[in-house]
Amino acid sequence: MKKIIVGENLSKEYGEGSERRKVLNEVSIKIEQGEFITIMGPSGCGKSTLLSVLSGLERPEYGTVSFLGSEINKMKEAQLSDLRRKNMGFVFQQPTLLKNLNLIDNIMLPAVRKQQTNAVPILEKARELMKKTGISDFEERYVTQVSGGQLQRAGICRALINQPDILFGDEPTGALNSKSAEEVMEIFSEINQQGTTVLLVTHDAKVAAYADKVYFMQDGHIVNEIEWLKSDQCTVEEKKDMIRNNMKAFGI
Amino acid sequence: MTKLEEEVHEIGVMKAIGLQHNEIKKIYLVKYTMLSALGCILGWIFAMIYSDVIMVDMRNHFGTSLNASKAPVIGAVGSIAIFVIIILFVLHTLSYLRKISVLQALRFGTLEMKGVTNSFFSLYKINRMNPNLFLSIKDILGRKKLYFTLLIVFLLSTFIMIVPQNLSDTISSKEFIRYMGVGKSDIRLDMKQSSTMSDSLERAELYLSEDKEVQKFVILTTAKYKMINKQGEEIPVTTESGDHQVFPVIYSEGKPPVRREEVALSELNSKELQVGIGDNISIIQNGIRKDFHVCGIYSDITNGGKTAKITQQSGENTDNMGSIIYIQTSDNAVPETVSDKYAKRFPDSKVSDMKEYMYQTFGDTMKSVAKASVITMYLALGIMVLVTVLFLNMLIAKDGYSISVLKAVGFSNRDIKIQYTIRLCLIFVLGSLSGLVLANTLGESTVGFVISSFGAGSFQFESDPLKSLLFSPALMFGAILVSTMLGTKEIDKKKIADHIRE
Repeated sequence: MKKIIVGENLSKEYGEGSERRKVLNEVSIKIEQGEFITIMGPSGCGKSTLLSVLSGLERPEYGTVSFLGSEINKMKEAQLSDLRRKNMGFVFQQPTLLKNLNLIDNIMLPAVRKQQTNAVPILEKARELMKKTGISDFEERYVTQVSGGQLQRAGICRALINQPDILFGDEPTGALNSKSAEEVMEIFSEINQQGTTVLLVTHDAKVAAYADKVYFMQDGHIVNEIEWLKSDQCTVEEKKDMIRNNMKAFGI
Repeated sequence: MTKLEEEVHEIGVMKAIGLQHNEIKKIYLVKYTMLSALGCILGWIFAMIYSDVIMVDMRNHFGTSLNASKAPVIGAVGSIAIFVIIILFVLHTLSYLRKISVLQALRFGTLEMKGVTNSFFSLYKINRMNPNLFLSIKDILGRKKLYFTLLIVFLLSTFIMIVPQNLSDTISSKEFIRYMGVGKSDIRLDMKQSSTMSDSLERAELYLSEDKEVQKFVILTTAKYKMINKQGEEIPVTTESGDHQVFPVIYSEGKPPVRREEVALSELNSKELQVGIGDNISIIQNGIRKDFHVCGIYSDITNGGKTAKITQQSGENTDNMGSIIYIQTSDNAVPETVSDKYAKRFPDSKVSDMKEYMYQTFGDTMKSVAKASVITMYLALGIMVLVTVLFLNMLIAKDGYSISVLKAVGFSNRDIKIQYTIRLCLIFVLGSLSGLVLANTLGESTVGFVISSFGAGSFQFESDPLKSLLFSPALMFGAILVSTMLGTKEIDKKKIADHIRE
């Protein structure tokens, strides 16, 4: 399989002076196209920072990140924007939609920016995604007029509108109730089955169990990983138990 | 307001950990009271130290003030007034603290939650539109009140820039001579009353009629006649006689005198004599009282503004002061050369081209107004730049969340800067157009009102369209672009992770 992201010896520090703290400590990770990966760990272990560094949202102090062979930490800001627009999709814990646009405009926006051509095919694509995620009835609703779950689905639609190579999710179900969280994870799973690489950060074993591979982080290091082959045919519940056992074993 | 916007997240945290509204308010009030007091005290001290240096030029022109000793006290009162205004504004701004909900502050990091008001303008309803333009228009429509403030600033800046400029252009224009009770011509030839004047006039008339460099001319004779007002009092009035249709002045009412018994009065004269169009007035010529019919009222801001125009003298006139010949040169002649030729030809007359005459009569005023127009231009540009930069700082602090969202979905810093530039340019176009309209209507009538007290009631701007409609707006536009470039630099520093909080 072709490597989509390769992170090598990544280090990142936060804070000033004596308060300076190493959040990532020489982390290396390889992600292949089509994989569904989650990164797990307790709060402050560096999992969100790793996602930000791998996706180019932040630059590492040391180490390199390559996306499809191009080193992204050497890219200029405009090149990174281009990459985010064309190849990446983001879903954050809080639904980050623009509050002065309705849901469908929010979803269409990255595609209109990317193509700047006839909006009709983009509208059709947006409607298709909204239908798939069950929010077709809320096209003209604004941020304050829908539930958190519906907003998060709109966020996923926006992340997918440009058919990205990889979808990044930073605690995408963190603000949702268990039913909505399950529905959102089903959507992620379906997206992955259609070929999109998915990289999620979570502290929830149930969410992590949707992945093919789970990395465990602690104090800025990747301390363990579990990988399931398609042939293993484990259920989500079985995967969840394995994840919990691993977490216990490493005291996470 | 900008600082408060920047600290919305912290305010949210303070509220979340249980701090009361009044406690948070007290923290900010103490902070801003100290800052304002320090600023006002320092400002007063600097003013006291540097006022002598700044006032040197003014003292040279206008002398020393009789109240100079009171200046420190007046300065202190001014500083205190500014301090009070700032504190009142801070108190008003802090009232927003009550409106900040914990959830809103932590989730969106902004005070603003409006924008659900313009569903008619939607991306999916428009087939094709540049997303930066769309987002800019959408933002303006969603925050009309905010942008209205900026529009007013642009409007007023345009107004204070254009009005003095138009006034300066007007009084420097060739047409302005017509407000001075004199028709528009190229050369003026003054002959003082003397025993040989009638011979000189005859010679001049003959020479002028044969000169191919002269397109047209008129001889007007000036005399000091007495006019009788309604109270029966005799008022001396400088009166010009001759054909007033050749080089007409500006008539606010009526027309130039054509018949022997007709008289046109300057505006100030008509006011003093309390007569208007259609009234009759008596004029004493050579000791003989004659009745005239008032046919026109014209602007004249010279000679104290009290003059009159009639068609003919009555015979040998002992009240004569002299004659003036107004000349318009032909199209291919250079007025300055013709003027020199006449100066040599008629050495006993005073020959001046009208530009020079106007400059001699009105030069100081023209210089002062031109200077004032340059000062107000710099002032307007300064206000525009300052307000635009401050406004952008506030807006970008407010918009931290949406800037991060746009960056996360693939909009570049350049895209976002373009959006702010479009917004400001659209507001600038609206503001400056309104300012131009206002300057040419309200500005013109306000200046006209002031000028009418000098005797020109029908005042109209004679602006240079290239200057007022192209050069000045282009200069302002340039200032806006520079301010936008300066004000949007902060966008580069905004990190996605800092604003999309978990």
